[in-house]
Amino acid sequence: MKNINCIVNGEKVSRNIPDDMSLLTFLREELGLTGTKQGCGSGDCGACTVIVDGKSVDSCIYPAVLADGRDILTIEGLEKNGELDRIQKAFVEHAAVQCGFCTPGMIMSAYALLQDNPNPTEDEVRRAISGNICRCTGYQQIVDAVLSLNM
Amino acid sequence: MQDIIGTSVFRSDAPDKVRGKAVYTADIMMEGTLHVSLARSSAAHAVLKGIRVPDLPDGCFVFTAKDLAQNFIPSIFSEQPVLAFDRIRYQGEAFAIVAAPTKEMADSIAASIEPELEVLETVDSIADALDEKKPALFDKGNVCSSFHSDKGDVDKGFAESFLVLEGDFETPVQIHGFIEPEAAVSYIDENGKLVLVSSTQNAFGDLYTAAVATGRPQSEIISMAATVGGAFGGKDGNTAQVYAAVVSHLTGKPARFIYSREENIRYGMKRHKSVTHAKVGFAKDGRILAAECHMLLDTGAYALLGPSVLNLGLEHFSGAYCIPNVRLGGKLLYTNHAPASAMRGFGAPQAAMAFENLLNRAAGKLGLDMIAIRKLNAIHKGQPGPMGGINEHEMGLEEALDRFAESDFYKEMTEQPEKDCGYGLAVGMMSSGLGKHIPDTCYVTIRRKDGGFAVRTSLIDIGQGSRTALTQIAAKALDVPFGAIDMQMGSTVDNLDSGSTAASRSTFICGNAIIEAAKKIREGADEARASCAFPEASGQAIHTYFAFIVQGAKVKVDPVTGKTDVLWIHCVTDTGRVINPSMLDGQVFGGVAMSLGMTLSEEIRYRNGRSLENGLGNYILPTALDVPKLTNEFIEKPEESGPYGAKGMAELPTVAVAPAITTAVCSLYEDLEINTVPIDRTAILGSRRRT
Ligand code: FES
Ligand code: FES
Repeated sequence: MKNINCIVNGEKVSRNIPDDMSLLTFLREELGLTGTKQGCGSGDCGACTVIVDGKSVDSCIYPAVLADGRDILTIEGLEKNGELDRIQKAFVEHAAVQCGFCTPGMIMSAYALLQDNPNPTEDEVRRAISGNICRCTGYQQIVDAVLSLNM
Repeated sequence: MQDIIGTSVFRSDAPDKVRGKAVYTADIMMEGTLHVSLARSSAAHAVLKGIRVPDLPDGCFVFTAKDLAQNFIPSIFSEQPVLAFDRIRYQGEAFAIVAAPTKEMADSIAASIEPELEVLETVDSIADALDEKKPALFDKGNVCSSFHSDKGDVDKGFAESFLVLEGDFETPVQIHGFIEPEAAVSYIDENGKLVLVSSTQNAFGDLYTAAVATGRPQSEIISMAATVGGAFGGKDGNTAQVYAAVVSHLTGKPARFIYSREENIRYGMKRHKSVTHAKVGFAKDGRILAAECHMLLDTGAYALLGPSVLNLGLEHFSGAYCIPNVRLGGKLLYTNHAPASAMRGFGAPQAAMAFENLLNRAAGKLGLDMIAIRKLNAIHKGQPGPMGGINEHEMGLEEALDRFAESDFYKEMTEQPEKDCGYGLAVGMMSSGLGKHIPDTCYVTIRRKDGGFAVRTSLIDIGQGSRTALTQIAAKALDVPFGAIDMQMGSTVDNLDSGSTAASRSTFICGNAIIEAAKKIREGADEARASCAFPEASGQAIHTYFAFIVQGAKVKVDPVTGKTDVLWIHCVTDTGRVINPSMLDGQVFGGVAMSLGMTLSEEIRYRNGRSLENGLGNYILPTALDVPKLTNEFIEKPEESGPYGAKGMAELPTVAVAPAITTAVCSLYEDLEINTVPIDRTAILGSRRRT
């Protein structure tokens, strides 16, 4: 067991956790943040994507102990005062959501992209979400949603 | 006021999904839950002589076939046991259920349970299944079902043909690839009822399966869908559900069973691998005089919905065209592979791969363009289908072809093709409804409530957006705003059985039931129930309604590696009146991407019954870099008997992508014919490039 202290969605969190716990399990089972999903558990689908210190990571293969001292943002942290974040809104408005299981991870990857690059090209968008598999949408409306946010 | 039908209202479930607030099965966590694992066979084919269970730690359980009230999963033949007891028929078949306080404990106990096996030779392919010297999986042999239909005089049709083309075509075992793995949780509620919550297409189906296995009266079980993270046919039938239910029933505790991705890939349901011999005869002017198809499908160890897949595949082989002489035949074969069952398209993509490729080759040889040869033969309302029954409903194939001919895609293809790019197109047809002799009724209840209406059905929004489309229909039928409808779906509570959410049937059948119930409400009732049954097809036909799609592909092939890159897919769909245009586009794009995967990269390969693929690292689903620009247009030819003119369409866009792409690739080469997908790039490399 190890003690970790980190910031999750702006709030300080301190927990004793087993050494081999993944960040995904930590978020879902310790903190009850079930918005982050598990699609594979092996770093291949991106459903579990969260932001750690500004970078997107697959939380299923990210050891929770490494989160010690870091700042973590999950899908639950995007909404401000009951208002959807602009990426969330764009996903709703562009029909980029079907079953929704890939959606939280997809939105977090888009978030990481737009932080670094507020005006991405279509190719840059596709590259940024290429670690996030969506089986429902064929990606077109997801790409449209992200591109609609170009300034 | 703007008509809500035909408006791209935002999906009602999208806000919760983008917030991460939608509750999927795995998000339901209960105190004291037992985690479920299955003890699975490492052999693909064996006699099971006994099971040795080790001593168990406190609080852990192992259940085998003898703990079940009855040991079968209800389906067409109901020959699949819940737990294997005398025979193992595929690698990974379960013979014991383990329940433990943690998943890790359950897994390790499952791995330590030893089956006593007498290993048998593996039936590892369609060819093996046809080989009389190989062992039979069942007493009746390895032919699970067969189909035959003969219309007109096929031999005469071929004799009179100016050009006869034939070929042997293959499509792979494909997985559904939903990102949410199979999942179920269950518990006993305060009234002693067993509650089963799962990722499913059929809440009542799960209830019946749980009742069979546990021996509980059906009235002592409640079954419902959580938010479903994709299904595509692969959650139509039992996956995880019955195992969780058995554990809760026998222990009284909550139980939870989530497939690992490896279990999903290896042991989840599949699309049937097909081997198809096809032959088509043409008059000099391009009219099709005769068509013949012999299709073999690998259904794996159990039939599940395979017999219907075979029949539908054959019905759809040449169904988009009016052909006087058609002979259809095929066999569904047992092998020692994980069972295949329903997958979006349900046999039609396999059939289109054969027919549409031959049709494009004929167009080339006869000097006709790919649209012209199709218009010449396109099926129309009032004409007989491939098995003789008259098509009594709207068919918009001709209009779709005309629209496609006006598209930017077609102009580029015919007038200004980009250098080094190949182009191709193909037509897909897809029925809606379960088909003849299968009960196909939907029940809806509408109740007035504060400021609006609750609309209830047991059908499920499996991610495709039926909740939103049906809410639009209800809002229209009751003449109230979208927001006044509370659409309640996917539970057995206070509902009659509306069957599975499958076969592109929800919008049509549930939409019509909503309109019926709404009439009674508008006449003054506070609560009204109505039902709608799918009309049966006439004559020998299996299905009643068909939607059509024209799909065009633009590709590039790397001359060094032979790798195909798809650059653009354009579609024109005919699905009657469109309820929600952006959702229609979304269904089309998703279906296209799924079949693009089948054409380029997706395949389960068995070696001695074991799949080489075990994760998303080696089973390659298309990413945003593999799927190109996708565009869709639709023609609207309202179907009088559909809800506000709509027809079902969810499966349609999977149908003709493979032949559109293979045709586009072949157009770059002098003599290349591609009959097998996924495309083998090394086979391309030997061909001579057109200059
Ligand atoms: S669940 Fe983490 S990458 Fe798939
Ligand atoms: S919306 Fe279903 S996987 Fe992306």
